[in-house]
Amino acid sequence: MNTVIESLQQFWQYTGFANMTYQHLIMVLIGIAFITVAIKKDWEPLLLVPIGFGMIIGNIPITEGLNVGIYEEGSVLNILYQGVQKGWYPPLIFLGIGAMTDFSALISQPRLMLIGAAAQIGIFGAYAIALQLGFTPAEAGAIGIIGGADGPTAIFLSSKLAPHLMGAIAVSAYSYMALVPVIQRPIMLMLTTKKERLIRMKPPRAVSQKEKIIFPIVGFILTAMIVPSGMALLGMLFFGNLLKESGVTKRLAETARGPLIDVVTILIGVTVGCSTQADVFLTGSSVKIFVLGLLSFVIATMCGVLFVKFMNLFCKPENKINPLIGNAGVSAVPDAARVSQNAGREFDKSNHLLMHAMAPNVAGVIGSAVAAGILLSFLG
Amino acid sequence: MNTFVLLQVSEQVAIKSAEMAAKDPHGIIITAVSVSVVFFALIILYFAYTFIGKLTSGQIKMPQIKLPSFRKKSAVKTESVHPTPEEMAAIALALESKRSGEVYAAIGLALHQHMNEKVHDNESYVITIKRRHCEKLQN
Repeated sequence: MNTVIESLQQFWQYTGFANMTYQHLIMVLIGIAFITVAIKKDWEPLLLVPIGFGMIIGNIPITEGLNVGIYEEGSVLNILYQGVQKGWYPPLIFLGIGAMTDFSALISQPRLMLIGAAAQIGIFGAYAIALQLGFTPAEAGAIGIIGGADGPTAIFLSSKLAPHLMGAIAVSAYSYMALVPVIQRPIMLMLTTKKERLIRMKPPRAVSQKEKIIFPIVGFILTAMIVPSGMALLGMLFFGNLLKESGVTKRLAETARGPLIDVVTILIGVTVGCSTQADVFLTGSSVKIFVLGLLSFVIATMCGVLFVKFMNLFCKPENKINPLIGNAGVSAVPDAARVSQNAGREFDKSNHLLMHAMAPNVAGVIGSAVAAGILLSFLG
Repeated sequence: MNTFVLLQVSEQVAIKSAEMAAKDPHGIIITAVSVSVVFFALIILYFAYTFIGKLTSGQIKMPQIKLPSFRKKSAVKTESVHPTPEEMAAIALALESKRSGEVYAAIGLALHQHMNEKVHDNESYVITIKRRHCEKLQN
């Protein structure tokens, strides 16, 4: 009888219930909150559901030696996590993004590309503030990239520059991407006048197939020559787009934007969620990262909107740009562009800004990959 | 391997980060340089796509460069490639005879002579005989 009781006691010591701390419980609750928000509010469900569930997986308390934890070498989760750690997943996601993105809006109005560049100031603004808060330059660079509003880029850069902060950075980036409508709208309205919000932009011109094919080739050569360290992300983005536009690789394009990106999204979401183990995640640094991430988003949105107003100073009246598309310079595709569309229609029901906003939005994807490349070349 | 090791920053990153902290403690230089590079990259793309757009829509016309006219080279006339009477006899023998070892030997001889010595594809830039195929037959 004693042996049975001893065995049960020994087994109890292995269970999650015996090893549970309040930090684990908090993280499990955060995971449940992510899933709830994704389902109830439909905020980035494709990301928040895997991340939320990953958080629950990663915060089941385990005793060392079972070889199941994400940080235990050789465990299944650890093997899957290698894709995040070594930076394999983000370029594959970029391949899918390239294969599903239509760059026509950008090709037809190249001047809107500059808005995508202006919005990247948010990254470097947050970098400077992070340095003042005591983070090292490498950590500050990884935190700043949250302002690019690009999850894969944030994971890619933080895996290289600050792997110990990756969980907090990834969760922060995806959380704010889900909150794009909530964060950006008030800033856009604060920085624009009613007259500016009513500006109607010229419809974009039709883009030929030839231009669409030339775009990824020229785009990749030029950007990769300037920032070779961003080659993995930029190469995959433009390659994916070439698969889509070439017209002869439909099967490859469909795989890239369908099953491949889905598989990688599942793996990246779950493993990033798992990596937020309470002892690694619940620290003072994480709180600072969340604040800096928000600041980075705010600065990026402000810079985008203000830059449009600046451009308008030099534009002829018929060529003015509606500053409500300035927020779309961050690379949260297509959410940021949708915010522009909705804000525009609030003031003029017949003013559709979506097509125009897609131009800075996709430029933001290129811009954030370039910015990541620059930070990597300085700090990596 | 424990959590600490997995989450460590690489040595190179640590060195570069320390160097940057010493050189640019407020991040002003890196911010200014990085923003400039991002703008530079996208401005280059802006000019490139503006140019390509104008080019494809016909707003800019490429100067017509007159290329020197190349006459279509006619097939080089060479001496007759007709097989010799011996070869023809061998081929005829091969075609008329029953298939035996002699037949194959005759075909082999005929083709060997025909291809090695006598036949060249004299059509300019048009290759109709695969070398590998010839080698196989030779062997």
